[in-house]
Amino acid sequence: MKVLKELDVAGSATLNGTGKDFFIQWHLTERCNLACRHCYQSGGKSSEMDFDEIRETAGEAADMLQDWAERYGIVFSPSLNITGGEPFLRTDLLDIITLLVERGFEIYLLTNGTLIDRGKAKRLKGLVHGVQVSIEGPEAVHDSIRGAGTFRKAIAGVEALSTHDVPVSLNVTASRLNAPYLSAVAALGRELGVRSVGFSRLVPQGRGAAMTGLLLDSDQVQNMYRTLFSLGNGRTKIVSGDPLSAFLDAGQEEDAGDIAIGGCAAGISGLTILPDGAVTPCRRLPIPIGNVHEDSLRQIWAESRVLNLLRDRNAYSGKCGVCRRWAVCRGCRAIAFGASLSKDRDAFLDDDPQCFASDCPDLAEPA
Amino acid sequence: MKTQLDRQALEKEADFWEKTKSALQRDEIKVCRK
Repeated sequence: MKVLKELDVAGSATLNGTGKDFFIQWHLTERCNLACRHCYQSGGKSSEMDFDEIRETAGEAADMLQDWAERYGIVFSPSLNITGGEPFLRTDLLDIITLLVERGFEIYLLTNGTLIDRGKAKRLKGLVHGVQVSIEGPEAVHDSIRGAGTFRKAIAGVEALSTHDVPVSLNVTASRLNAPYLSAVAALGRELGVRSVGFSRLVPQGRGAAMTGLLLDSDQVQNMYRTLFSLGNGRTKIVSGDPLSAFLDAGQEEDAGDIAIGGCAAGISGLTILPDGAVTPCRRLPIPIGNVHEDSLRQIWAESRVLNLLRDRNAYSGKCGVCRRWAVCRGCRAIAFGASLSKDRDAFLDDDPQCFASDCPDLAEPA
Repeated sequence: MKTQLDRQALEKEADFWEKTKSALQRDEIKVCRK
């Protein structure tokens, strides 16, 4: 399978022509050795797919992408984000990664970093395209969110990976808990020599639902990205996959159209598989749309009502539906959904409450 | 036995990817990866 461009795990992919990023985020386990305050998961128990089931599903995904490429003439850059829970709690993790690499996938590993030692790092060298380690701020801030002693363990994991030349990205989940310290994480990333430092917004789901009041407001989000991107890129890049981060200053004079091609990946360029085989549009948008034990991935992609709503501009409510950037943004559907739940609504097509766009057409104006 | 792609689903799939391909050929895009 052809690879088009190096990707930042914590960031985004930029492709054009007939190239298309398509990624599957695969949660191998819900088990975790930490209980972070802001996690979009709640740490409940779940069954886990065994090695043979993973092999079968990986084969199905690879065949699906191959057939799409042949049938529609699109060159995909297939990648898997492997995560948990904490993926290193799967004792067969490295065997699974080896299997997935053999099926032609680029592998990115998302971890809290605390269980990575030099032995594991050595085995990951040449196997994965990148490892994303979550860091929330300086030591005291990080430990207040992720637990005492976790900062030093995570940094030790990063250093072990770097020792064996495994590309590392740091990722920060921004909220009012750590907003004053984000530039410090960027500086830490440079000090550690990591490939990139990525920034995401808190999603009020799972354990993080209790932190809805700690979401940044729209001005704070805009200022956060302005500040971070003003730091510039050296060897360590400052990245974000957040759709809002791409539209900091430039106005959008022309409507980008009704075909969703960029921005939020839900429904357009990825799927998530949970440990028990359930499939969701995005891990942070916990709406089941099928299960790999019963449904083909291809059937889900084509027929899911939720996925088709995510692709339908007319289904969106409020500002997002009329926004000229709809085709290339749509905000974060997971944050929109989480915020709607906090208001006793169940509306994943609501506005992204942290959007800072100031050039919205009048809501009364047709899209 | 898993559900398989029926004709209606195949038509929907084709519609999605043909439209996406057309848009891809027109614009550079950026997608969220997490």
